[in-house]
Amino acid sequence: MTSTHLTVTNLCCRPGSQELFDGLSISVAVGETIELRGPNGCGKTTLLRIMAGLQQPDSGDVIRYVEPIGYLGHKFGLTSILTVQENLRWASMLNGTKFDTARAQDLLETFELRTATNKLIQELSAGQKRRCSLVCLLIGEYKLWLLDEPFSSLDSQGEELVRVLIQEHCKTGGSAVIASHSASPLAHAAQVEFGIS
Amino acid sequence: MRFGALYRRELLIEVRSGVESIIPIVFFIIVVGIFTFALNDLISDDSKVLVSVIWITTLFTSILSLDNLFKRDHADGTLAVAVLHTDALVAIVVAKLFAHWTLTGIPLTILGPLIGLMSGMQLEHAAILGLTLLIGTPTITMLGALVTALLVGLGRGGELLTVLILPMYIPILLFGMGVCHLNIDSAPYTSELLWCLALLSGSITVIPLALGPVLKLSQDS
Amino acid sequence: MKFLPSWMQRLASPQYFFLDVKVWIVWLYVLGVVGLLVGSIWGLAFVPAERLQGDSFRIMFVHVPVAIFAQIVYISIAVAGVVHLVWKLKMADVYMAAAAPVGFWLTALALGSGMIWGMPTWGTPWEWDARIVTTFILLILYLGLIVLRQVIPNPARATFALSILAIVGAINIPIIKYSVVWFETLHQPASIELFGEISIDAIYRFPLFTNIASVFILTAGIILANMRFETIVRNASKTWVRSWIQGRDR
Repeated sequence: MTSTHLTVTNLCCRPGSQELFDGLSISVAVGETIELRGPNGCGKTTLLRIMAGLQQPDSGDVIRYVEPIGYLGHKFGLTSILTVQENLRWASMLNGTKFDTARAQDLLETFELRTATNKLIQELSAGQKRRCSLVCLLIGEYKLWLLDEPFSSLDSQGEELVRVLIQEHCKTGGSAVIASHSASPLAHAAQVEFGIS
Repeated sequence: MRFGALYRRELLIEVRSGVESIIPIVFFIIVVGIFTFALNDLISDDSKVLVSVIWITTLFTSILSLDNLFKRDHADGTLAVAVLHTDALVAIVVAKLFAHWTLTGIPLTILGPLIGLMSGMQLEHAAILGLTLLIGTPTITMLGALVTALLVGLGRGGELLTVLILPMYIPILLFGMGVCHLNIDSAPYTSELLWCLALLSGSITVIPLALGPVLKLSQDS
Repeated sequence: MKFLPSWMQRLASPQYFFLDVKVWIVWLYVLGVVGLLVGSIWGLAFVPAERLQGDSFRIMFVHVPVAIFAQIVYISIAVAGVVHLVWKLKMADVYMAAAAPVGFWLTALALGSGMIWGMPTWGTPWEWDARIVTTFILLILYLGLIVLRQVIPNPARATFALSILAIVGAINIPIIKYSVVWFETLHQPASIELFGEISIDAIYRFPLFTNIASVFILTAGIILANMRFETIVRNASKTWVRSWIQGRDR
């Protein structure tokens, strides 16, 4: 059992002429929540994508101790012409786990998506899509979560739900890195402030 | 087990997208139809002409259908999710290509010889045409998928696809068409057929493995 | 890479490559141009006319060398692609970028000189024949390599895509090479085989070989010059480039 899920050391990223960050080192320990805060365009999304492995830094190392990683980006990662249920099935297929119908129903209940189970994704509202992609994240049973603006397009109730979920996830041996510009910071989260240099 | 489920999912997506997935087949029928109409005399004299028309139209059809292969997945973010699951990525990609081939390759393999028979081609010649298409269409899908994957997420990629992809298709076109021509001339065609099989086995073994890294890098733009 | 001599290992660093290679380029240019002049004048003025084709065959002394290197440059790009994928060598990428336009122009020259040759001998400049079509495809392959780099903004991704494209495209090279054997074609089969009979008269052999060697030397020189240019563009922000520029200005 490792005590760290992810480390980045001495990360440099300067796309074009501007410099997003230079010599950035972060380590994500088990049970830790890290919240990246800062104005738009300061490199929060870029850092998350580099952590996930979707993007290469100009220099520096990223070591992932857990695979795969639960990444939730600006796009929902849902197939719009499949139903909620079918998208959840795919999420479980990715990790090779057997689809647990009862658990899926429970999660859908928690996220108030029960009635939408057999609706196509394209028929849902943005908030419902966000909820659905969060359910996918839970179904995938990832250790490390990288969430990019998880609260966007959620109502206050949904936001509260996600806060609780993240806290629970980290209590049960998970970890999370969250980018947000929400007014109220997450409780129990280590804050990393970004500035524009 | 998992592969079957992934394959069914891809098929379901194609079926749900409705008319969009039939357009390549309709395109194939229309183009071959126009050619048989325009080259009527030539085709009734020499079935080599029709064979060439069918083979070349198959290439164009694949360009038309491949443009969409990864576009939707890239747009809705499922491709980003997929590339993060390194273990499942090859299975996902192969399922996707297999589904694509099921809905374009198989119909063309059946339609090609059928159109040939309707235009008075001999049964044996039509059968060999079907055989070469059966070997050729998966090769075309594989090569096409590789080039498409190189262009994922680039705005102007669609137009570039034609320039980059056609040179890759030349070997399979020359050998596939060559087998049919030799067969119509009653000449031995075994070596050309073996070349087709070599191209097929080469592409279906190497390309699915190459697609993983190519798609992963496509997210980085 | 440890098995290479130290002067070669030194060349893998952009800075030393840039400084070391300048002298070579000058020599390669001089040698290539002189060789090409000697070979061409020899071939044009001092060699008797051919029995069947008359004087028009003399374009062979240009056509054959460029056509050979049009194919060899592509193979070398594919090899550089493999080297880049396996060892992540930066110079391999620089080589691919530098060699693609050179290969493009060699192929264009091969097609152009072939068209001029085709007019008196075949009675047509262009025939949709296997060798010509496959060489034309080679031109398109080079075009693809050049365009792809411009379309992909991210350099790492562009290099990776180029390597893959070059390697997959390389299956076309044997087809171009053997198109004269496999398919019915107007184009004559090769007269020179690396391992085997040379079915070409001794009088014509020497100017032809002089030109093949000169085109090789000149191609190498141009590619190296391009590579030198690429290295300085890519390393524009490095201190060694800045100090080199300051040194020049003085």
